[in-house]
Amino acid sequence: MSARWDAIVVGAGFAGSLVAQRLGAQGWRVLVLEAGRPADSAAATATAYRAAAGGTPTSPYPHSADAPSPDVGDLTGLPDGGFTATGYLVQRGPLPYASGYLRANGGTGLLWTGLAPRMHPEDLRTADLGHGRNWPITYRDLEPYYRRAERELGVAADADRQREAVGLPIPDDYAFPMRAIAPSYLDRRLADALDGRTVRDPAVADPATLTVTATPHARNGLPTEPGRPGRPLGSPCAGSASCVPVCPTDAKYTPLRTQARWAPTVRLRTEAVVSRVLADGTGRVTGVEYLSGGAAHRVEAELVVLAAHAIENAKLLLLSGLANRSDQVGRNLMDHPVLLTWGLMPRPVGPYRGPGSTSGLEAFRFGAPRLLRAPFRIEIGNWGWSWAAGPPQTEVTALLGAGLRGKELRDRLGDRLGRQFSLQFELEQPADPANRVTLDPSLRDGLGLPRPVLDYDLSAYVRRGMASARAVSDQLFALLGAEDHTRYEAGPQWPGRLEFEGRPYAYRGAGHAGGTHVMGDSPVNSVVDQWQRCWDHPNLYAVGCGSMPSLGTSNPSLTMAALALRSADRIHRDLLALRRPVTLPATRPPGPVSASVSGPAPSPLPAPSTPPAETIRESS
Amino acid sequence: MPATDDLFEPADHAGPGDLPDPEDLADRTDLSDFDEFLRISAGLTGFDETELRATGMAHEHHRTTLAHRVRDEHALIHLWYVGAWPNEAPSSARAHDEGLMWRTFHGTPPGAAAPGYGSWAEAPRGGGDR
Repeated sequence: MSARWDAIVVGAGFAGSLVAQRLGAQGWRVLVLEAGRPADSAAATATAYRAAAGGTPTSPYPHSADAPSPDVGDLTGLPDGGFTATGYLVQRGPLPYASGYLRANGGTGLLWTGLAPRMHPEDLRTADLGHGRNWPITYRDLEPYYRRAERELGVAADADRQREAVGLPIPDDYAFPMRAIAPSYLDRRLADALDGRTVRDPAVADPATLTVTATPHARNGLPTEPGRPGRPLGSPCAGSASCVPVCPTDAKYTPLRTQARWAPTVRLRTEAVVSRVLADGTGRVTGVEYLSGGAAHRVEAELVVLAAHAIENAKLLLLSGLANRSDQVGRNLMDHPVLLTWGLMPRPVGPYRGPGSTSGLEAFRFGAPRLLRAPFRIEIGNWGWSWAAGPPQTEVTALLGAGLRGKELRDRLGDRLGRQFSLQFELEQPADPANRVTLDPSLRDGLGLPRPVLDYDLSAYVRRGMASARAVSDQLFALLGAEDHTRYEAGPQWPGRLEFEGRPYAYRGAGHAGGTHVMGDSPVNSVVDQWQRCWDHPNLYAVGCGSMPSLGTSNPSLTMAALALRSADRIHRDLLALRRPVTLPATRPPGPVSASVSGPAPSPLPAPSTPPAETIRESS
Repeated sequence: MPATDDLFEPADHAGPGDLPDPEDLADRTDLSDFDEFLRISAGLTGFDETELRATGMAHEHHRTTLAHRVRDEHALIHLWYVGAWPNEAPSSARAHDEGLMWRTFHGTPPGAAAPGYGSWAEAPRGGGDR
């Protein structure tokens, strides 16, 4: 007899872990298939990272030849300003998609920065602003799920500041689970110099007034109401200053925290690379095929949820030949291109302390200027030049090369490193169907699956945003009395380099892939409906940032989490219509859901120690 | 940006028949002597011998140095400042943590210390508020 799951979730990252948690809590039997391996503990990962003297964000995590992870180190800039790409993603340009992601249990959510701002109501109406696409839902639809996501992730923020400085319509009675994370010393120096001052964006008639504003974080701060009962959130951030790639004290939310609350009806299988979603002749999906241990396996379920990352979800849909009536699968690939500027403050600011960014400038995110140029959010970078121009050893090498020795070297280095700061301009990139993921059957990975092929460019709208960002940066540096060391030299460090109106710019990727199974209000021009359910397949969901029709200027993980929780509610209703969940004993003692599952069992629950019966055939 | 150094010739590229580099420190000094190694290191790094000993890395760095046939000033300073011989991984996570470059501005490397909630809001040692 073949085991049949209520739901199969493909991918144990941010969205998949949340969906599995919600479904498990409602008694559904869920099989989670994760392509990558389990990661070591956060403390051990942090030690490995230090022992390797740093590296790219995915570097301290387990990499698998069967489920390769793209890494920012795969890209190299060329002396003439072009780039080359090695590794898993096939980059056809003209510009590189400049972000990596991690295929491991917990996904890229292990190494994310941990910033959790909401999107603004306006961000969901970008087509009305002349660029990109509108969402089929409004902020009002998302708001209750933002609250739930903020509780699940443990978000530290100040509701009043979010209302005033960002303009978010947060209900009066709402308090974030934790108080805002303390601003850095650098934030306070910037606030001293900038608050209330104005700068001119060359694309806009009116000057913009500056206010340094604390950013919402999914990392532990101090509780809003210390005595309030509820799930303990853990120790506050201890200032380890290594959120990317890993928080050694587990103060930053990762999907593993949600996995720890999975009910026993949720089963995780790692190193299980889904190769195809299976469908019958009616359009209903029946399960998935996955590759593991050198063999292909088939598992069946009432419903399948793809939560494997925007690019991986598109790859799976394309491989399976599903959900693409609109021809939008893989299209509308977006990221937040990040323009970095960096320099030296007049006095020491204590860089390389605390979270990577604790505050930002919000004045360039909203309003009429969006009609003209891409909006941007400015993050104040607490970690010196590490993202922009390299970690401190870069400066050591430079000064050694200049012949400095002894006390002169020590003093000069200390003076320069101690004054380092950077600004990170995260630009909105509107959905553009030409930016896309396709598959080339002649280019295959270690398991023989086609590798994702990317066509990617930045539109004139984004480039105008970059030009505005740089002009704003110039004025900020002047107000700060800071020395600007920004240089976008063609060469290995800047694969994402371009010229616009005669000036060079360069960007890095924020790791915010979206758009590839875009959500909309019609099966004609979108892949999923407002529930992230594929229009063409009533029991196939594709969840994650890939559903987002626009990214706005907010780091998207919180919105991805809110969408996942909203979809989980809908999936629960879908499953109820299909079959009844496992019911728990009415006299169940308080505490976590136990393994004792009783009541009418509509399908056999696979024994914990053995995999469900499967159709196993030879790997081709 | 990876630490690179055009001047440096990795030791494992120096075959047994290679002549020592005329600028090679080993030519001029006896680095096999620990005290001499420490004295030379102090002059090159700008940290005195007491400070170098206090890192707890002096003997480990001495062993790392002696494991390389070609040793120049640049490599020795790099070892102390970054915690690793050029183009190599640190000899240990601790070697990385104790890299002198962090001490030049009273900093600590990512993940090596947990100074406590809100520590990042304070003025840095040796500078800041004026």
